[in-house]
Amino acid sequence: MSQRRLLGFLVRGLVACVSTTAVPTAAQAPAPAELVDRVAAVAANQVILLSDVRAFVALRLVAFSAAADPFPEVLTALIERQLVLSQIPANLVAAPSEQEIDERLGVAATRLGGAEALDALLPTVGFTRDDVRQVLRDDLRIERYLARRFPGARQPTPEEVRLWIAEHPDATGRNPPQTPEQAREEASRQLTARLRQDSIDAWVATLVDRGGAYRVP
Amino acid sequence: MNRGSAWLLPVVLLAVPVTSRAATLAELVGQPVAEVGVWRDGLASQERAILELIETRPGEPLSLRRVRESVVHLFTLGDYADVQVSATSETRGVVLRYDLISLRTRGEVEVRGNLGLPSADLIGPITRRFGRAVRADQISAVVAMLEDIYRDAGRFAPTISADTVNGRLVFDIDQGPAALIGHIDLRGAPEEGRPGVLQRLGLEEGGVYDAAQLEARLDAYEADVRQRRYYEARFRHDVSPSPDGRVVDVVLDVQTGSPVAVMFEGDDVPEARLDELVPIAREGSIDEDLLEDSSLRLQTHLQGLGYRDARVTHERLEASGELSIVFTVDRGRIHRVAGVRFTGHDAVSEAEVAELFGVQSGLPLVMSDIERGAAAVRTFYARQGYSNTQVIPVLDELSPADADRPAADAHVVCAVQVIEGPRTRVADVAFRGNDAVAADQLAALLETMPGVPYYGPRLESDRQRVRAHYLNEGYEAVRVDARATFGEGDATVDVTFEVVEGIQVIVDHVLVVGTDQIGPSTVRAEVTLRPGEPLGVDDQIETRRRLNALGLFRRVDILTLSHGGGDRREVVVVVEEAPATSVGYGGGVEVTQRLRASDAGAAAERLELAPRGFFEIGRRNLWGKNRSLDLFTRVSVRRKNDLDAPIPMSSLGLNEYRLLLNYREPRAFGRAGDLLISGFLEQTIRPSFDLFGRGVNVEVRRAVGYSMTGSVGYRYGQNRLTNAKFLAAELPLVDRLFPTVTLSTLSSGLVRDTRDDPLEPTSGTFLGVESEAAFRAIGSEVGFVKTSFQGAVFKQLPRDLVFAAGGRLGLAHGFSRTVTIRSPPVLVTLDDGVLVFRDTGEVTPVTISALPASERFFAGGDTTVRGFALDRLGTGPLVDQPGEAPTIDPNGFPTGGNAMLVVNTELRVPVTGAIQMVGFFDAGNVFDRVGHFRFGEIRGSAGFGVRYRSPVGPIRVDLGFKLDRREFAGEREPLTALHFSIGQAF
Repeated sequence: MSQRRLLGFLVRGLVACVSTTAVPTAAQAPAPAELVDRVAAVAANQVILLSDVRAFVALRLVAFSAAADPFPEVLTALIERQLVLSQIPANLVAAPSEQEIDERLGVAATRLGGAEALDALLPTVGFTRDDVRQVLRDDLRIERYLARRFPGARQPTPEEVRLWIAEHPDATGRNPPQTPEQAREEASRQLTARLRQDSIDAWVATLVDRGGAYRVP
Repeated sequence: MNRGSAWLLPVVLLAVPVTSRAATLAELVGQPVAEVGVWRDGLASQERAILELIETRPGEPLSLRRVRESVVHLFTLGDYADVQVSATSETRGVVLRYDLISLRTRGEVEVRGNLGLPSADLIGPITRRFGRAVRADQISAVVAMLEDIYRDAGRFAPTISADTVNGRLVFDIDQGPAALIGHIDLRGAPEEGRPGVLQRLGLEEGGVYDAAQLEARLDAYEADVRQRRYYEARFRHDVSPSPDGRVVDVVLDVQTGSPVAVMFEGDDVPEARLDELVPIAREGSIDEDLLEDSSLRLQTHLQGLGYRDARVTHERLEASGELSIVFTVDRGRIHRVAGVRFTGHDAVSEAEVAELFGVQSGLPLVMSDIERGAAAVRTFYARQGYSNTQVIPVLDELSPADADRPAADAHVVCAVQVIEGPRTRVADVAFRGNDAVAADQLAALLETMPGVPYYGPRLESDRQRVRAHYLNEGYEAVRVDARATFGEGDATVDVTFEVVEGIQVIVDHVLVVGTDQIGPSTVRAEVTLRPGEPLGVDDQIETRRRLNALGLFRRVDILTLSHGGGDRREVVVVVEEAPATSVGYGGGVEVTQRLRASDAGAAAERLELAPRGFFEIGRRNLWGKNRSLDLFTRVSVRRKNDLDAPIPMSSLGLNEYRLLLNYREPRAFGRAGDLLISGFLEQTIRPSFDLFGRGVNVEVRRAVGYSMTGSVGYRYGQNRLTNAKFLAAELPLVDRLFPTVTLSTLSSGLVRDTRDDPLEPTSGTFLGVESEAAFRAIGSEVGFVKTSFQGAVFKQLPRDLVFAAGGRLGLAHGFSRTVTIRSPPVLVTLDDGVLVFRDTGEVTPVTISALPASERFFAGGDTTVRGFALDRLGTGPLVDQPGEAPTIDPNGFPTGGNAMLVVNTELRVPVTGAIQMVGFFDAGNVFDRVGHFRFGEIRGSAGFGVRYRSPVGPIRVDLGFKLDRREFAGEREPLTALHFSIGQAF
């Protein structure tokens, strides 16, 4: 063994000794703590937890973009959802039937890969099936209330329809190819839905502006 | 990676996962919890009230659901800005750490610095709007509010910063420079002109701007101008501050409008009530709503006098710079009821219908009375099941005998046609949708049942009862509809209650927030809401009532919060403790009409002034429970009944006093009732004697339902009678034998009180009975039984009048006791002719059965029969019944008796907001024995009085007149008695 190889051997041996002796030492050091839960926001006197946000994301109970961190977006959605719920008088909209909720639950489970996948996921987010059913029940109540409060929107003007088609050629005519009349009808339908959604968004914005919610920093 | 270093990989892989990676949440779930720690603002906490709310317990698998619930419980307390839970995986299991981050403030907000305003003017608005604890996210809103306050004070550039000092939120304020007035722009054309207006408002360019002062002056100025009939005057101001806030330009908008004249044209108007009917001058306004109301009031008033066709209109006329409001009155003829006839009333007698209708011949015809009468008949029929009865009054004007005189009265016959329609009875009562509550359980709540007449309002009250039942069972969103389906010919009706129950809300946890000195268990003991039980409305009301009744809290709120919807609610009882120690003191002058001996020894009534003062100190919440200890002392400067005093003034002193020490323990003896232990020491100067008493009283008091209270007690004490004013022969033997008497007394009482206000009741009743019994076997020197009945009823009448009537009946019986008394010394002549008293040594047995003076009944005075001075009532001086003894001696001093009756009636009439006039009639008397009670001896008085509603209760002045006057020792009783007091007479 040359001196160089011998030196290399000794260095590697030393490093190995240090590394192996370091393992038990490192194992005894406290592992970093995992944040399990905290208060994320309060909306209409209802507490929204970090685990709520995580559960809505994991169970895909709310739509969110494919951003790296969906937390801010989902929290905003939950705050707005709670503010809207607080506006619904108890008896104004009919309570959703259990069958409707079952159907929604089936759809939600399918999105996650089936009922078994849903059941496996629930304990990891701190939800039960009843919790999910309550979320779906509230979703249905919100939909019914919005349908009642915002039954429709004004008819768009021909100029607005023309602009919409120009801005959304794919959505209004190309695939599948449509006649100009069909494209205008489709554009008008989409635009009406957009205008209604704008009205809803404006209303929700007023709820937020009224100060019924705050985020915990 | 080169081959030479590949050997390092397993080592690194072995080390990295352990040293740098935390277990994921999914990995932690289900692992056993090894330890749970709570850290409050970075410091470990073992507070039991917090630990109780944490549902993750060592030894159990980690459940995220329980973590979530624990976080919600803790956050719901309202003390924390955030609750964070972190977990560490260790070989022994998961270590959970709850970090509670307090709100930035605890306790009261503080303001410091160059405030320029009283701190209360800043703190007050903050606490009113944000509460005692300001959240971090609210600080900017508080700062904005403070800036507004300073802006109103003329400071447009205050510096305000917030910081936390020793856990308190401190606002450091520099009010900044006072803004000076730059330019003043006057809009409008007031008579005074610009200089006059500025002088009136105290404004000048370059002067200091004070918004509040300027607004107050503008308001006063506007009120003055409105008094000069400029009812449209409107004075306002606005400002534009410079960027640095040091100068403001002021815009004064002084619009006076035109002077207004109010005129009446046409027929005469009732001058006496014109200000009330057309309150333009009083309101200082000619708002169109006010004018319309005035026309209508005037018209309704005339119609109420019988001017059936009265019409009143108004118009605005502007001429020569003056606005006139002209009311045109057309009264028309007065109409009188010449007769009332009824037809079609087969099911109800004519007399009954006529009484219900209420309109009588000869009276002015008032259409509202006709409508009211028809409605009363309809309602009566409806209660009997005739739900479609029509009552049609037809007015037939008789031909005028003197048609050439249009102003003559018109006479109208009122023909009332009753179309009864079918009588409907309830055939069936059914329920739908009542899954949670059985139908027979709901049916038991109803008044509507098969066979009873159908009455719509009854059905509605039944519907509300069903709904209330569900609400009390926690069905907070329940909907109950009642439908009536009529059978053929409306003879029967099927009633169906349709219930949409919704979810039943269950109490998840009951959290108590805000206790500091008081133990949470004291609050919990009063909370009738229980975890796992329905969240009922009545339970919430009862909990609030009980907590308020403790008297320990300034404020009680019950909040119900949920997390994530569903059927569970956290009930948060938020209390704000009242100070544990209370101190009170006061002084005044008692003015009463009292009996005093005249030079001739006869009783003479004199108005006496007695300065008095009191001091009390109380400590509540002893040992964390709702126990209390109170000391009350009162002293009056009053002259004793000292007959030997050479001059009256020598007997003047602090002769009337009371010292009372009370200990109260609620829910003593395993919640049997409230225990009250009192020690007392007192001396009172009564008209006929001075009485010193001391003793101990033990009582257990228990509420029975909402309005009834029962009590049992025991009293041991000693009373000493001195300075008796009776003639020696009139002094009852018991008082001569036992001038100092020891009494050992058992007592019991029952009170039912439904008055709306104990100090100034306007409705409700008060009923009470109290019995006492003293026996020699338990240490009393004399034995007796004694019972007092007391009752009062209060009724609210139209126009806020209150009728009050009350009565008190006292009955007592003394147990016979034989005692031996030494015969009095006899006068003998000694051998030397000298006369001396010699004790014969003889003893004579005598039987006594009278009550001692301290226990006998007396009447007369400001709370009994108000035409008489204190205790002045009695039978005598002569009595005509064998064996009866007078209860007032020949000189007019009362001796008291074993029976007493007092009756009071009173009509309380509001005059202004704080002043009330009262007319009253009182009657009563005192008799020596129960068997000697005679109505013919009842003495009456009538009178009137004034009440002033003060913060300490109504201050009362009553002047009573005797309805008959008697003579004692050659002197006639005075006609009147004057009383000054606090509180209503009964």
